[in-house]
Amino acid sequence: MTPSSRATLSRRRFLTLSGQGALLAGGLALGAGSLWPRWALADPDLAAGLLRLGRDIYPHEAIADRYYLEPLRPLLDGDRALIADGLADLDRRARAAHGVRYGELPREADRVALLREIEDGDFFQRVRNTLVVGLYDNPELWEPHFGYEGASWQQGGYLHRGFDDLVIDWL
Amino acid sequence: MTTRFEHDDDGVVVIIGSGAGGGTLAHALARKGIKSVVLEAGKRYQMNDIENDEWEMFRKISWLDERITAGPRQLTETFPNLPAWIVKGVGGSTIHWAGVSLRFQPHEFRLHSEVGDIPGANLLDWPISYEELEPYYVRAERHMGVTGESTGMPYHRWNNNFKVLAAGAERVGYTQLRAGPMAINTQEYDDRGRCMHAGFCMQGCRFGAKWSTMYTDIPRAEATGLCEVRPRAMALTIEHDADGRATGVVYADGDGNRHRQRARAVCVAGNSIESPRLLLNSHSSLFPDGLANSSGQVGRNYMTHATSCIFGVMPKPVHMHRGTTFAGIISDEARLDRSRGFVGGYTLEVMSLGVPFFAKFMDPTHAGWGRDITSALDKYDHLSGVWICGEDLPVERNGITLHDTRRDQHGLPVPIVYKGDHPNDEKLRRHGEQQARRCYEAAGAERIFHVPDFPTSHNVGTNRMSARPADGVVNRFGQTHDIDNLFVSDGSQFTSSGAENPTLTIVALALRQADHIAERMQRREL
Repeated sequence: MTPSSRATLSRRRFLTLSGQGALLAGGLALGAGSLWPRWALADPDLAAGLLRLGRDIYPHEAIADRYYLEPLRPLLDGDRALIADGLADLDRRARAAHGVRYGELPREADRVALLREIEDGDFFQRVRNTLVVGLYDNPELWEPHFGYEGASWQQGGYLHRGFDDLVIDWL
Repeated sequence: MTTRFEHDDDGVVVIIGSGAGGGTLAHALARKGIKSVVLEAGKRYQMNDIENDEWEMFRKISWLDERITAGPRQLTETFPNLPAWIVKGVGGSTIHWAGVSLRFQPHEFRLHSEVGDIPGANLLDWPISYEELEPYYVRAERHMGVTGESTGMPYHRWNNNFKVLAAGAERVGYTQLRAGPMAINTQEYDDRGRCMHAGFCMQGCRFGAKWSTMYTDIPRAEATGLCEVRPRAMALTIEHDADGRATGVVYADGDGNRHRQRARAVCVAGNSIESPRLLLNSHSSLFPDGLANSSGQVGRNYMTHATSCIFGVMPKPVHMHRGTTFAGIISDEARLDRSRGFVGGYTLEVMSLGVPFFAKFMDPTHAGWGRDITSALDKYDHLSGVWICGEDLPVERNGITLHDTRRDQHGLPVPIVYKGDHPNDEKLRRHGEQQARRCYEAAGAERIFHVPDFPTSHNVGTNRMSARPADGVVNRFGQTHDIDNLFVSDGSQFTSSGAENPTLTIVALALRQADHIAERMQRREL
């Protein structure tokens, strides 16, 4: 193991622990609010709904709230009605099935089942398509969370940095 | 020195497109003293425009003009306006291609003779043989800098991704495992440096180690003083005279102004969607169904390769993103062997995607979200992937047509790109997926999954070559059967798809066509 991959692992473990600490069962910990961007604090209801939805679509416990919230923010400017209506619809569905709002459903499986019902709709796909780029195209997350090193030409590629360093010792 | 030709100079060959076909042709013609004007719809990029960033380069260089994906295939749902992943820029899709440079196999030029009629397939032999093309393969390999015998350049060292696939493939019994041939330098060649194993081959090679007309043929053709490249010049129609000879090309420049460039001959090399689209859009009273379309085959027989992707999660980090994107090839299944239940073969090509594209492509259907997706992404650095590149049978219905009402920014009908599987394609794909899974199982994968088709970069067949004018659009030299001085110079000439990536064959055909055009000009036939 190289020193850099060791650092990656320990960083990842740290993120895992701190990320889990920020979540309570199914709902969102208000304690994590201090890490939210200002716009989300100003609009907590929509932000919390979007965040819960984003985390159910692409669940990574170790990734902090702001990495979900920041890419979703433009939706509240450009598609506010679609988002507000979509979240209200989800709440209605959750109340009808379970008597509580979508974000208050403690079991992930119950939330996912509701989302499967609406996954073909514009609201859901708009959020999903925004997040699939916004979350995974964030270089801050690449190496710490995924072990993806991003641009390499500035370092002369991987010719001398491990393009063929794998030893298959598990077979 | 920038050469400029007059719009009414009828001594120039007008070449539409600057990629593997058009760029190669312009350079080869210039070497023979033949003048050309290259009309390229896209911009000109510099080396420092090339970044190691998947989305940034996708937005920068892709052909994103409106197209309509159609046909009974998943892509119609998942990428309704992006059937193909190709480039709009000087250099065309040679900026994006991954460098795999396999020759077609001899039997693939005569698949129809080998297997006979297949219901639902519009099979036809090429009007040229492997033996005729072989010297041009050698020339193309030297021209592009393909690792292997023709250049003497060694193959690449195996990267981690290929080591994993190969470990499984050897246990499955495969023996034809190679990290080449690739048009990616393993040592300095042709005034270009060696590969640094940066990854990001498909975002453009920042080091210029991978052959691309962007920084080889195009600037070299221009340096002769015999070639003028006009970027942001979108060809709209090809014009002809009363005798049915091509006289020039009407195009829109970057500001939308229209011009007419007169021509001695016209060579169409806009890739397999734009090339037939241009011929169809050039219909006239003399040619009501489009230029060179007396056979009715313009736009038909669209082939993309029968493809699929399999990824495995390995017990330890692989770092597949390090090294060339398509780093190794397994050719054992490329043979023709009907005992497998299908005709044609396939190559297995190890491949990688970065996190941004892997997340996008892993399952782009509406249902592609949740823990199935994220649990694979959480193991991103443990992944290894393989792409299946299989013979795709020509089906007449698969093809490019023009939309009745939708128009693009130039007022041209938007192309509809229709494609469905022939049953043979499905059988081949299933076999390939099963074999790829066996490889990863044998390599000790903890989880193996399938990634559906993404927009295709291999687009061929829509102006196919044929011996008889009734069967296809162009003859053995890419000259249209109907119009003496009109040529097709890209992959749309392909009569069949083969099991190999198309670029090397496009370049070999372009070099051969340049010889042919020069000879005919010398004989004053053109």
